[in-house]
Amino acid sequence: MPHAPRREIQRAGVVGAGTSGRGVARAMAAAGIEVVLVERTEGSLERAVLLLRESMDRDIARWAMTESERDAVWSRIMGTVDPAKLNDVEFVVEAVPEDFKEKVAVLQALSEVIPDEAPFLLNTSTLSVTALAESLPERRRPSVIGLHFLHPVTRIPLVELVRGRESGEDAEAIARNLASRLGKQVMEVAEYPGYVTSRLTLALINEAVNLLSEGVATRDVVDHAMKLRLSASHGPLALADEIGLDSVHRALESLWRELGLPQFRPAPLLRRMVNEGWLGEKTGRGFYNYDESGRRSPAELDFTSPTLEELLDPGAGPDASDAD
Amino acid sequence: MLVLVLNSGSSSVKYQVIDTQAERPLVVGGVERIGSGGAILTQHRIGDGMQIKETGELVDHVDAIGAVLALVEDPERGALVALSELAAVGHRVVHGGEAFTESVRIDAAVVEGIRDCIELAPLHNPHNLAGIRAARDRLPEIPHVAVFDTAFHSTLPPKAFHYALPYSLYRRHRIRRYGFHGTSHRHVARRIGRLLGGPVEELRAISLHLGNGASACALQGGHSVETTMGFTPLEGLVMGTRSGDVDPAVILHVMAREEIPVADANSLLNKHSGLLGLSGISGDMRDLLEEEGRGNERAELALSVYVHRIRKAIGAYAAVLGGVDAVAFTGGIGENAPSIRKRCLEDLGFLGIDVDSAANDRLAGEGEEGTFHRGSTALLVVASGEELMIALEAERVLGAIPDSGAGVSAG
Repeated sequence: MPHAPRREIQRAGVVGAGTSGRGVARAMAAAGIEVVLVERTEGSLERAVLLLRESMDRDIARWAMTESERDAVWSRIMGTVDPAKLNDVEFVVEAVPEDFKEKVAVLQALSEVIPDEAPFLLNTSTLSVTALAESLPERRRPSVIGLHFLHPVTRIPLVELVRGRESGEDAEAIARNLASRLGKQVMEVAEYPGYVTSRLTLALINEAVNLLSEGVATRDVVDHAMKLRLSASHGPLALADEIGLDSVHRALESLWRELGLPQFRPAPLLRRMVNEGWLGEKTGRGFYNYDESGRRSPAELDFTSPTLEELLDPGAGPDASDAD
Repeated sequence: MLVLVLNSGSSSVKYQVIDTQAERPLVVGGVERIGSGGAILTQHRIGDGMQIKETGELVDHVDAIGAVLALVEDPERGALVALSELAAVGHRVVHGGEAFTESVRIDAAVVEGIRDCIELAPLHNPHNLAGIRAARDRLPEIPHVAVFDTAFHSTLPPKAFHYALPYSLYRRHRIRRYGFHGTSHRHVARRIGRLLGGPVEELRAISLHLGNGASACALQGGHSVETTMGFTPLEGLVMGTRSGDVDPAVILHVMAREEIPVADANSLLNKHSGLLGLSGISGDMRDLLEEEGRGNERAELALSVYVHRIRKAIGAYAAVLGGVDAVAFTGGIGENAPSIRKRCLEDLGFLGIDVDSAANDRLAGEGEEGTFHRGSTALLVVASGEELMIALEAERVLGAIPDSGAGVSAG
């Protein structure tokens, strides 16, 4: 077992300020780590900063944090569009969208600016850590390791640790050190698409959407049944809304492509919703409606009404041509 | 004897160099914001009032304690003593579990024992340990003593420390009442003996520590027999931002209704409740007294609940002790808010409690101590002295004097 460094982590980078990048940055800052948060454009950075602020204000209203805790988190996150600001970080958490080409491009660009000894922790659940590492020069590959955070990062006390073929001990030590600093349990999993949590969660969500479009049960029946069955806080449809339907869809496509298993073929209704721009909590509309503060609209639970009409505009059924 | 007293938190270290003969500190200081770039080191020298404030990068407790020691031994700005003159380092440790019923000299086994209590105080013991490790590294020749917040309450009888929960939880997870603020209540017990000047063996006293946190302690002959805090410092009296006693079913109900997870329920009870939660204004007593003066009803409500809870504790502890001979106040609110003291003690004539209002009003400043009773039950204000008590405990453990502990031999 590699030894954790004596000194605590002081300063780290997060690349990509999407849902998971923001979550990781916030969790690290809350644990006292200075975070350099890199986003591609000024516009998207501005939006990310706004969303980060909103998510914390929401948590204050929900008694999950205090204003001084928010201010402390805030003071430790430096947002930038300049990757050169990563020149003194101890490691980088990569959190760009789950797309192989995009991740490769980011890794290659970053390996030019971040210190040679600083590991890359790849936040991926469906892509191969080994293949991503191989896009880098040989000497850089041992510093690449997979560390999959689950959404919402501040709440889920779990990370999946994935060693690529060439992942080294230093990278693993940093990854474990970070996980323990953030209070996350490390689940070591083999490098295989979807690992444990994404593979099971995505299958569950996809089937829930299929049930809905087949008219087997209403949204609320599906979610309540599974909440009760799994003693979970969220049903699969609410969970999909929370993760973001575009992310769910992208991950499903990736698993469908990699594993070829039918349960991962994205449900047509899901695709349809993504095309409509209904992406869940972040757009205010998904399987549920959300008010401006991201709270689920307090509609009466509905266990009886037909489902599709509720989800889509009248007459707008799922597009058959989408079904591959 | 000169003792360096250290209180190590997550990103802070508070310290004092205390002369145990004179029972006063030479310097009082602290480091804040450890590990966040701009750490701040401040020190106040008692002798000449010299104030020092420095900022710099201190990445961890090793750095912070290094900086503290460098300042303490600085020939011009320090405590005007050499580090070699320190006879002991006293460390505040929050939780000693059932293993530590007394202050102890620190060795490897003690470190292991404190580590074993991390499960009981995950937010405190790890940082206390970090401070111990750093200080022992830097001062290996000097004896180090651990003084536990819980140890003074190790005299609680089983009927007071058990919850009426399945006994297996006590065995499996050490679920019981431990009590906190023990060093403060020990100090109060000792000072009651000094201030009243009589024997304390038979004395039945109630100690009220009212600061940001708050707890009451029933003292029988200087020993703790009951206290309001329990498994954690959340139980008991209303505090600045902590709820104190709540029907546990409320938490379960709220968690279900609001769909909040355990961590957030914890935050709700510890950081969003108490005076702050109830008033919606502030968790600071000074703000609330001011607002109440302006006729703010929520401030008045919060204070009335706060006072009511303390009065219930006084009544309960009078029953536990079979009568009460003395009630002592300490802590920021206990020392500086005569109006709160008065309200806590009003109409308790049946317990021999009668407030001397003029004397009460006079006791309202930093370090003020004295009595303010007209009735048969002594009423006192005791200046906070946890650090002094830690130094005295260190001295006692090292055998310099036989007992400075629970005040049994005082007076």
